Amino acid sequence: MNDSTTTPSCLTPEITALIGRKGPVRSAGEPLSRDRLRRFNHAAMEPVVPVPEGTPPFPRDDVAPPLWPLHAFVRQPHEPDPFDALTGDPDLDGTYGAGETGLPPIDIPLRRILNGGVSAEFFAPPRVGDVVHAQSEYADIVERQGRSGPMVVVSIRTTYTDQNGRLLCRVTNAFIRR
Amino acid sequence: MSRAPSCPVLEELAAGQELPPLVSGPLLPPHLMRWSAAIENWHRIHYDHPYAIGHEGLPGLLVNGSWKQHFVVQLLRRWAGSTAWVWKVEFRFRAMNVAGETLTAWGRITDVRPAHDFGLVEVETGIVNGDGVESTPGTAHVLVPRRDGPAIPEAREELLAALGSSVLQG
Repeated sequence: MNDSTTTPSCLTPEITALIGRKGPVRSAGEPLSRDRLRRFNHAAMEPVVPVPEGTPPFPRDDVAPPLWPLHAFVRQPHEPDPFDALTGDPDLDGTYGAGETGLPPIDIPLRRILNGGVSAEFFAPPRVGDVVHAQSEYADIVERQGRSGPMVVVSIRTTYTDQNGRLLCRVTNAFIRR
Repeated sequence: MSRAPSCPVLEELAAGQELPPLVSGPLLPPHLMRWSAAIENWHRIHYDHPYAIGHEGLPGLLVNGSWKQHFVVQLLRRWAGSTAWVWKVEFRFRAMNVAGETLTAWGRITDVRPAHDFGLVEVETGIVNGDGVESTPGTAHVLVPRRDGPAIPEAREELLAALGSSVLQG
């Protein structure tokens, strides 16, 4: 941040102190079922690849694609209907706080949030029967001067494991706030 | 440009080889609706056309970034088969894709090198639409076996950690 002498930064010490902060371990609550995997693979349009006789089909019906853990966290049976909020405000964007990480919010006056990019590292394939767990942390928070004003890049790294602590994947999202 | 062989092994790979491209589309509103429903993401810009255009000022229904990241991984895994391991991917969301577009995921090998008992392949990846506009430029790393080498172990966390510190940064 070489230009911090000319431009006041919106990153207070309280905000930069959040770098490295971990959120709670979240559980998807229920194991991945064959039926959910089937619907997921159909929606993802996983390509069906011919395989040699005697080898497992591709896509597998018992092993999920490597990015599956990102989608394991859905509304549980007794959680309230998020669509109820539409009664009060029919113009809501429909995100309903999706992507909750449990991390403390970053209080900066930049409202727009763009998904700037992703990096992911895969260790083990998620399997039917796995209960996905996830823990997120602020990997980095940096301010940049864009052409249209200041922006803050918030990198959130999430580590996904199964119910036994087996490491599945680690995913870092760069959210651009401007 | 030569085609990278499937069931890749280190000795048969070289920079410049291209992965078999993966084509999807035209991606129509039903495709986006099915994806949103499967992952229970109710953001309206992906399935509510009047909302996407009138409220958010978008040119159409937005193809989900979450699906595009799967699409790139599909390209890599279809090529890697069951003997190689797609280890790392990274990409930027540089441009929007909207309903109606046909998208092609592509990959080109940029580097091949030995890594312990295996080979490490760096692949440049992306997604282009029918107009050739690149929306999702990225890089991937795929671990491949050697021709007469051992299979990539089932428990690969330790191996990848060792590779991560010796071959790649972070």
